[in-house]
Amino acid sequence: MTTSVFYGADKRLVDFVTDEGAGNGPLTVKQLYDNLNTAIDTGVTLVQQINNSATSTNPNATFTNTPTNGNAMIAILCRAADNVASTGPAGWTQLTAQGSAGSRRLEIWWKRAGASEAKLHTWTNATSALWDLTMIEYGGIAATIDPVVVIGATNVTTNTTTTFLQSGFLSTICAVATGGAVTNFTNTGTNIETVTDLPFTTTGRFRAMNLDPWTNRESGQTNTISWTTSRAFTRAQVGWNPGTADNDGVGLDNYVGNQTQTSQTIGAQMGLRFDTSALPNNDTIDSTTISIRTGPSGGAFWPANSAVNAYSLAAASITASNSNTRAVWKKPSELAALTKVASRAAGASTSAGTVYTWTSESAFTGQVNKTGDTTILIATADQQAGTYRATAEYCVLDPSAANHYLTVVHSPPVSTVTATVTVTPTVSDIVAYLRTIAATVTATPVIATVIAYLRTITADLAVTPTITTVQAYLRTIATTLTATPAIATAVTVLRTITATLTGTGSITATFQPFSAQVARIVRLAGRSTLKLTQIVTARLGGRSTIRAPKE
Amino acid sequence: MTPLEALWAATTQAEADQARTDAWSSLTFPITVGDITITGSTIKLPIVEFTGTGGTLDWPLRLIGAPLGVPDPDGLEIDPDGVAWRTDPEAVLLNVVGRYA
Repeated sequence: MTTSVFYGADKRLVDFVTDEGAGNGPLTVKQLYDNLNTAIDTGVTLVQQINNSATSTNPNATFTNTPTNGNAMIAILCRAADNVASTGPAGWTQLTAQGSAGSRRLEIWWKRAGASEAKLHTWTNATSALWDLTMIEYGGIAATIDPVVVIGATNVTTNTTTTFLQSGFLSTICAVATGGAVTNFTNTGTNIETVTDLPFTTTGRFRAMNLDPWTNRESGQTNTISWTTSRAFTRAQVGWNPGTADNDGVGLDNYVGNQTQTSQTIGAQMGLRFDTSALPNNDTIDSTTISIRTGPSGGAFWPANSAVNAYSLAAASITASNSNTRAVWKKPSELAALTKVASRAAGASTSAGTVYTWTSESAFTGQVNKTGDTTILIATADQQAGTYRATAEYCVLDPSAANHYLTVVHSPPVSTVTATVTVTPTVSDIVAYLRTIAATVTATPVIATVIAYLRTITADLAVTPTITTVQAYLRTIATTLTATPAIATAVTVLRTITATLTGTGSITATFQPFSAQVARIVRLAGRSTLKLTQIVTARLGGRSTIRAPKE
Repeated sequence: MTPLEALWAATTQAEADQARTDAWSSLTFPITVGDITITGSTIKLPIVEFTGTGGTLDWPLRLIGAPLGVPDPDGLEIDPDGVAWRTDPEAVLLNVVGRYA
């Protein structure tokens, strides 16, 4: 047997709670697990949007439909001819605002819709000037969590291009305003996800876009919106930007598991990749263990109530890609569907910067990929159960993939004869050459002396054997003889008169037995008729007599 | 430049492999841990194979893609992420072997 130790070749940490900027995300651990499918599968949904523009006081717009109770409403108010601040309607909160003296102003507001939310919303501004107001209603997870400012409103005066980052996995709104003359905005970004122009007016002085990102989007993907215009302008970005913080090994510690239920910082899982292709493909894997090193700084922390598990990702990649997939972070049902290969118990004594070998499951050996990568997901039992607690249930692991390793004990293949002998051996003489054949014979033994002429006829003889002596002349005539047999000698004159002769037999006198001079007697019995037709001559010669009976 | 620093500074596979070879070639045998004696090694990157006897280990022992050292708060070799390390292939080896002694 051989012991092979495979060190981690790659690692990926995905945190659905912590913001990508490593700060608090808008979701708490409890909110995430209470709204798991909405947060991950649905995300933020755009329900309706409306736009209004005029040169007047008091900007206003009216939703087409009454906003749904609990949904989030966003308002983007732009002024293109002045920098006069507006006062929001009751209940509206300003997220960000910026203006340039005398030329333009951008304000973004939000409000959570009430039970009988109004359609019409009016901002107060006593100055009559060109304004443009767009209102949007958002549902989905936006009904649970509040929007945040992604990029605070800023005047862009030194260049004419600004880039909005696509971060997080929820919808984000970008807005820009310019002042002065009509200008055009051009989106020159890398839009790999859907970007929708909101219904701004055609003055060309305002633009807003809504990103509808993939709900399974993970950090590390590339999506940008870059607006280019011929004029300086003001721009801002707001939206819902939680989770999917990604850590590729930076820093001292990686946190895996869940923080307390009210925390907005840790709801993370870790993917590990081991290149196990150096295992001989024909070897048998006898045992597999995973050894995980705790973080060098905070690594002494270990969850008190939740085991930490290793799951097989069945060689699936852990790398984020520009697609609508989650490679690493799994929901409880998804974790339950994976094969658990090892675990370390809750409350296990733990020190920082120490390697611990976890307890393997019997299924582990079957999950090792001898032809490529073996990928592992580290998550807690709480995350599989969808459980959150008042206590922190996470562990702190070393951020370097190479400090974690798989140990695989494997053996080369044992030769085994698997073919089945189908020929029945004929034993003719086994006195002289007795041999012992091992249970697992790989080579065909050579038998020196073989009786050459023995033959065995199988039970199923398909060929008719040849019989050398045969009686030559026996013949058999089939019961249904169709040809008339030829009879060499036959009596030709035999006549048969049927028993039921109905017609009167006639004798045609073509044969004349009455030879000359020979006496003949023709006797006609009673009631006989002798009919002589036409001209008949009865010539009685010699002693002939015709005697009538009553004469 | 230590092997770890050379590895971090490597810009080609050949440079990285040379750093690894230098590190693993620096070991002196035999190495004894409890009832285990490690008698020698063969370097065929990314595999470093060790021969030895004793312990509950199934010999030979192969390390694949092993790091060249260990994180050490007191280490003088600082990786690009700012973490302190020390070049110590023997510590890496004993980290594994020690479990079987």
